[in-house]
Amino acid sequence: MAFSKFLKPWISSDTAARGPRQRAAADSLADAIGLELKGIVSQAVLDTLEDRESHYLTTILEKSVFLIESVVITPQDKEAAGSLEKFLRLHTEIDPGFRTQFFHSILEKEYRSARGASALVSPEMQPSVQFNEASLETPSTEEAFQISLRGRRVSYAAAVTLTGPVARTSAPAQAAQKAGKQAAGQAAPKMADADPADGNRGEPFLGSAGGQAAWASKESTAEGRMAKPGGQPETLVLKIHDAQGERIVHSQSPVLLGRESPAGQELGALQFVPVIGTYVSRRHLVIVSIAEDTYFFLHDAATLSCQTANGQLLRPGSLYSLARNAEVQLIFGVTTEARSVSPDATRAAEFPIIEISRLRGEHRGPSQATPRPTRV
Amino acid sequence: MPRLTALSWGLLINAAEPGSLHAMGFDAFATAAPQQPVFVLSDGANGTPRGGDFARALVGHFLEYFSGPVLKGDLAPDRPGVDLAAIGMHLDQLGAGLDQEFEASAATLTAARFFEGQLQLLHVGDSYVLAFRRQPFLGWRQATSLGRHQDARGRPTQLIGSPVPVRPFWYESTATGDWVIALMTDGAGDFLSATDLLEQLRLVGSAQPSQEDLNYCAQCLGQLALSRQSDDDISVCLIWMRLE
Repeated sequence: MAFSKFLKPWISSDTAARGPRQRAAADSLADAIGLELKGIVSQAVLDTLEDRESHYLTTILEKSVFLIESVVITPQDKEAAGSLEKFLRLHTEIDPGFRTQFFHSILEKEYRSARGASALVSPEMQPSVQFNEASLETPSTEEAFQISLRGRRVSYAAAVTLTGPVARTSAPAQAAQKAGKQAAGQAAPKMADADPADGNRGEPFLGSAGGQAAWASKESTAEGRMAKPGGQPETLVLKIHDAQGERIVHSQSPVLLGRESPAGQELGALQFVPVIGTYVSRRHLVIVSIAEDTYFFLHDAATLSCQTANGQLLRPGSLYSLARNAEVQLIFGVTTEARSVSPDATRAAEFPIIEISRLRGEHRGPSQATPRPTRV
Repeated sequence: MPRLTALSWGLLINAAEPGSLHAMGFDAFATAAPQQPVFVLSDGANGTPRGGDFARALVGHFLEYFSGPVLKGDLAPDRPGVDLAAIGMHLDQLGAGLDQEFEASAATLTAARFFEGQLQLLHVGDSYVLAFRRQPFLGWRQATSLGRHQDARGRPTQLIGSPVPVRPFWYESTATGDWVIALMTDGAGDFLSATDLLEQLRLVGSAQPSQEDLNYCAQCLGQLALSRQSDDDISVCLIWMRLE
C-alpha cells in the first residue's frame, strides 16, 4: 500500500527492532489512516467544489481553477482521535517535516468535478487536525452500530476551504510567486508575471500620452547591465546625505548601496556606491532600472531596512518600484522596532538619507503623482 | 422604450502590487444596485493631500444625484435630452463643496446608469469608461469609449474639485440587447486594451453572468494590469445589462 511505503523510512527506524509483527501493525495503521483520510478529503474537496462551481458559467470554469487553501480534519470519536494523534506525534518526533509531507501525500494534484471545475492545492495550503467534542467521546454501542450500517464506520470528517477561481494560466505563476515568497533566504525578489512575452505586448493600450506600460526588458549590454530599449544605459541620480555630508552621485544601473564594497567577483555587474553612517548595512540596497522603470530592494545580506518619506518600511524580499520620472526618498538604518523616523539631515551620520531619481539627458518628465488641474 | 430585464455587476477595487509606493487606496466605488442600476467609480488624485477621502465622499454624493431625474428635470426642464453644461455646473458646485472639507484635493468621476429607457454614461478626468454590446452573429463589440480629460503629458486637465470648469464626457443609448459597461481607473485602463476586455466578454458569451462571473472577469483584468507593471490602484467595475 502506498501510504506504508511512503512511511517506510520512519516506520523502519521505529519498529525494526520490534520485529515483523509490530512492523506489519504499523504498516497497517498507516495504510488505514492514509486511505481513510484520502477518501474523506477527496469527498470534501468535491463537495465544496460543486457548491462553488454552481455560481459560475461553464466557460469560466474551463479557463480557471480553484485553489485549496485549507483542509481541516476532525476525528469523529475518541479511538480515531487517539490513533491519529499517536500516529502523527510519533512520526513528527522522528521527522519534524513529516506532518506536511503526509498531508500533501493524501491530496491529489488536481480535483475535477463532473461539470468541469477543477481545484489545485495552493502552495500556502495549511492542513490541520482539529479536535472537537465528538473527538473526545467514545460512541455507545447503538451509535457505533448506526454509523456502521453501510459497512464503514466514519472515523474522520474534513472541511475544505477553496479560494478563487483564478485564471488557469496565471495559477502556476501565482503559485510560483507564493512559493518564492515563502522560500527562506531568497535572492533578488521576483517580479510577478513581468515577462513581456505574454502575447499582448504589441497591442495598443487604452492610455494615451501618460498611459503606456513599461515593459521589463531582458536585453542587457556587454557589461551585463540592464539597458533601455534604445540601448542607452540608464543613469541613476543619487542624492546622498550621510556622515560625509551631502553629495550627488550619478551611477549606472544596477547599483548596490552599502557600507563596504564587496569583493570584485561578488560585485559582478553591480556599481557600488558607499553610504557612510552608523546604521547602514555592509550591503544594504540594490537599485535596478529596467526599460522605463526603476526597482529597488533590500540586499539579502542587509540586516537593517529603509523607510520612505511617507513612513513605509521596506520589507526584505519585496520589490519596490519607482515610477517613471518620479523620485523616492529613503532613510537608511530604520528597523521594524524603530519605525517612523522622520527625514532629518542633522542625523544623517546615523540615519543617512538617499534620494533616488533617474537622469534622462536634461529632461525630467512629470511626476507620476496625479496633480490637481489648474486653470490656464 | 427599452426596459432593463436583467442586471449583474462585478468589482475589483483598489487592487495593487504589494509594496507599491503609489497604490494608496485612492479609488472609491458606490452603487444603488439592485434597487437602482446606478454605478459610480472615482479615482482620487494621489498628488493631492486628501485625494482618497475626496473620492470616497464624491461617489456618495454623486450616487444620490445620479439616482434621480435631476439631469433634465431639475436643471434643464425646458430642454430635451441632457444638458451637459448644467451637469458640469452641478459638478463644479459639488467639487467646490467638497473642496471646503478636503482642501486642494480632486478626483475623477465615472458613472453608468439605466434611466428612463436609456443607458447613460458619464466621465470626468483620466479614468476609463467603455461600453460593449453583443451583436447577433458577431458577438461582443465595443460600442463606445468615452473621451478622457488628459493633456499630452498624461496629466488630467479636468477633475472634480479642481478650479477648472467641468465639461463631462457623455454617452447615451436606447439600443436593446446585452450590454457590458466597464468603469476603470487609470491604474487598470492604462495597462489594458479593449481586446483584453473583449477576451473576458467572450467567456460570458450570450449567457447571463452572475456577480461571481463578473468578479472573476474583473479580477483577471486586474491581474493582467498588475502583470504589466501597473503601480497604481487598480479598480475595475463590470456592469452587465440586458435591455429589451
